[in-house]
Amino acid sequence: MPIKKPAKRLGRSVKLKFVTDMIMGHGKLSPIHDLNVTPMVDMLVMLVIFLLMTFSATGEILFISKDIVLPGAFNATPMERAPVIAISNAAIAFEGEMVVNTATVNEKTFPGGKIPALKELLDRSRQSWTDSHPSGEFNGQVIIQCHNEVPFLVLKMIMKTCAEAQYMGMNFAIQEVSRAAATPPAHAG
Amino acid sequence: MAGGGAPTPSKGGKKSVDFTVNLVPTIDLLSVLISFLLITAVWTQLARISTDTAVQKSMEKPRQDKEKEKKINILLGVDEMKANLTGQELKIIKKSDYPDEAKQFDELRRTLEDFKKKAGDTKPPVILASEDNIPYRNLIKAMDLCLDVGLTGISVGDPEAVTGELL
Repeated sequence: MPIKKPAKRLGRSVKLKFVTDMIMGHGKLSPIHDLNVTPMVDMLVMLVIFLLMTFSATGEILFISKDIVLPGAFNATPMERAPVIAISNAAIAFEGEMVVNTATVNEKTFPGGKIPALKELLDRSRQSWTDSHPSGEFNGQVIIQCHNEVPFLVLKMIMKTCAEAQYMGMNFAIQEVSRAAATPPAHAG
Repeated sequence: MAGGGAPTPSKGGKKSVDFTVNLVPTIDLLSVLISFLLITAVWTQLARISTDTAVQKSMEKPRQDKEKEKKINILLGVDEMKANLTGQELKIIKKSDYPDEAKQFDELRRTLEDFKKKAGDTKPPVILASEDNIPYRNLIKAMDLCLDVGLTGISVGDPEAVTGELL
């Protein structure tokens, strides 16, 4: 077989001139190129659908401090705006305002199981609500945002204080998790 | 071009049947939507479990009323969990019998399902309390169990009052 000089050989068999020109490189290349934007639009539509599905109209009601790890639960209702009591291992705060150190909360320091500083803030909050809603009925709802390792004693004293200040509706903030992660499996039979 | 689209140029004066849709406004709209949704997105799924405070209620209610009402009392302890339905036998779930915490809660679920069956059509309210050193997560786990079983009227009560009801 004779040795041939390297060159473009493909497409010579095609009998159409414009095809041969294009393959052989004789055709004029247009300076305008259309970019195929269809995959890009597809991707953007997918992103929009995903973001719309995860969209929450209530927005961010709670500011999560790094000291507070919320327990997980499956059966829960969406958050509604109410005064927030944040309880970490270090401190107890009402609407972001530090009230007392958690370590000092016990029956000896606060006989009767009520925390006066917290009660004062709760009373003030209730008063401001009744002032701004003169015809409305006070619902007494409060959100308790508590670290999952805080002992019940602290919680009990806070709840007693809330009840004293006419905040009877406790809303425990939780992290929504799957059923399997939250509770043991249902009893078969 | 007003942003709608343009017919594909044709040769020989014949109008082409191909039509290119201008996708630029669509991309603009989608970009704006994505930016807005990304800015307003809430990534942590927070929710709440609503309860009442039973501490003061139990003190205020007269004894007669309490006797009439059927309810489930649960007390979470370090060594055991106790639960009963008013007028029924006390169920004790000992940690020594169920060393694994998940198994202990599984047994509590079975007990609650049993109480619910015994209560019939009425949904008995649940009074939940725990010993002072029990962590908050266990209380939430018990509440989640109650809700999972279908017991919705949960109140968190004073351990002493609940112990009194369990006796």
